[in-house]
Amino acid sequence: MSFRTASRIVIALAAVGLGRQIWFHCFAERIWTLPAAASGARPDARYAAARAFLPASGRIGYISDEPLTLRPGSLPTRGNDKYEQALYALAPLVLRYGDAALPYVLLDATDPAGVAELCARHALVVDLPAAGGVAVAHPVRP
Amino acid sequence: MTALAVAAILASGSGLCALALGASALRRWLPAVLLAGAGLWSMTYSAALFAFGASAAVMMAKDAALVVLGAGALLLAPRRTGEAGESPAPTPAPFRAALAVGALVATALFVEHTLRYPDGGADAWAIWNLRARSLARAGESFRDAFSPELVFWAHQDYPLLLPGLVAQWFRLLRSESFWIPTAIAWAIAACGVALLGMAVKDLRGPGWGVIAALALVSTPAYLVFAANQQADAPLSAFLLLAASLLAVALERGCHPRLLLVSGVAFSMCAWTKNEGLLYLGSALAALVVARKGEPLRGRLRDALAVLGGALPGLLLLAFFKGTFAHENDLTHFASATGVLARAASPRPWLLLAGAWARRLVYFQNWGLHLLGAVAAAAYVTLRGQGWPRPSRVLATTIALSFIALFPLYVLQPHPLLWFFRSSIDRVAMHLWPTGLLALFLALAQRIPTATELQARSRSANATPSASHSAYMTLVS
Repeated sequence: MSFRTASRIVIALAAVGLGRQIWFHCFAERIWTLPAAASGARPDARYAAARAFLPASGRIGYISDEPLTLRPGSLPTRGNDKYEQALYALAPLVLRYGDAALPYVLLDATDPAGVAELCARHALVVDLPAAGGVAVAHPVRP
Repeated sequence: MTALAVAAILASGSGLCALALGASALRRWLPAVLLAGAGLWSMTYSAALFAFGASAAVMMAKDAALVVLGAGALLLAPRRTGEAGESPAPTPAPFRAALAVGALVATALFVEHTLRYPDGGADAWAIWNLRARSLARAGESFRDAFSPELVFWAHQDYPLLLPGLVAQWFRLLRSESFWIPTAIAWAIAACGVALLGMAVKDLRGPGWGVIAALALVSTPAYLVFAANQQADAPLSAFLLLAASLLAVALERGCHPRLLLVSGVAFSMCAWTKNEGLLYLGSALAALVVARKGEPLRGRLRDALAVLGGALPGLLLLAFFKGTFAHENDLTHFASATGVLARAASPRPWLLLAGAWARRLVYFQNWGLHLLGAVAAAAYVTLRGQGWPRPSRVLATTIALSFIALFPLYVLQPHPLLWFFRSSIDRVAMHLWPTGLLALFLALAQRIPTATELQARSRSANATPSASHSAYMTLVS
């Protein structure tokens, strides 16, 4: 193939590819909403108070009001998203899902009012009160 | 410490590339130097971490050793390897301008995407940056990053090249700013584009190099995956590094040094993502099966040279998998009965074939690039001149990888179409720059070496000094 033909084809493909990207980032995502999106809360903000309270490393329990997919075969849930965000924010802590027997247990509720119910269900006492649905607790009987 | 780290990347990358390409080629192959240096810097980080722990002293000693070894390799490396092609006329300015505009637009959109999603795509924060944070923060408790007590979606078994890079910069800069993984993602993606341009330029001339780079930088999926800070764009760049060295070796005589260093680059792929191991296996097989006219002994020797170069990296991977990476979701949860049931049913195979065909026109991620590539491959096949040797081996590598992936998709334990949709563009992206390299090497005429030009000039009763006009005659 001659260079002239190849270059014309590539430039046409490049125009389509870049044009698609410009359309998506500028218009489909509405670039004028960028300042608001950029100042939105990151996963770290939700777990900042818990991170300051918890030990820097080791294992803690993780209790949530959202179910998690624990095996392949069904799709990850909103609970998986929350667990992974907590893991990301609190790294390198090992979060043991469903374990309410460890000295520190992270309660992660979608509705802040749900923290009390999680405590009652798993026999936990709150150490760090809930902020935005996140609290740290310990078992009633260690 | 930061200066030592930079010196370690530059020295080790220069040393490795000089062994393969000759010291005189380092300036031209700067993107390869940077990629190779980054790869070695991260692999030795993991090796030092596993062997001696996470202290700053260990990492400084590791960087100092890289500087010394890199400098030693530079001293030992030949000035020039093989015979480069005659340098043809420079690229016309409009094409350079088009590439510059493409790179600027892509960078602007990369920054926009980063500001909107500072933690990257879902896999970036749930896997790659999570691991980087764990390694940077945990100190001697780094084994917690791979704890089997974590939910399997954290993918504790994924290799550590990208997290190793990010974690080291987190520690060196004493910051976990999102700009650090962002800068690494941009730099690796930029090196990928520059390396493709460089490799095609070196083998086919500067004009072809510029349009190859333009084809890559304008691919929507390349920008998306780079901006998402995931390991897919780095894997594609390291695979391109391995493929470029392999292409130079196949075109200019399979010098063992080139093949060995190509093997090292393949091991960087395997240390970036699990798929890298598959691509290495496919390349080894392609080196044997895609060169049928050549003596079998030579083909096997070349494949063994690549494997030999990959061996240290593979040993690191085997140690990691055997010691820390306790389980893989594709194998750990797969039962024999489930695998057999999926294999025996025709439905998943048909579903997958249909989904694969539809992906060719997935405009959102690929524009018209995939269709263009398929059309170009059909043109090269049908024009009757065959595929040149480097393109044949690289195209066979890609084909074998897809052939191996097909049953893997059917037999894995996740819902098929969900797994396909969430992963197929990544796999295609891993292979895309290498595919472009194979295509552009096949579309363009090979640049004759000075010796070839002189021989042809003599046979045409031309003087050797008329090599440039002879070249123009050959390519026109």
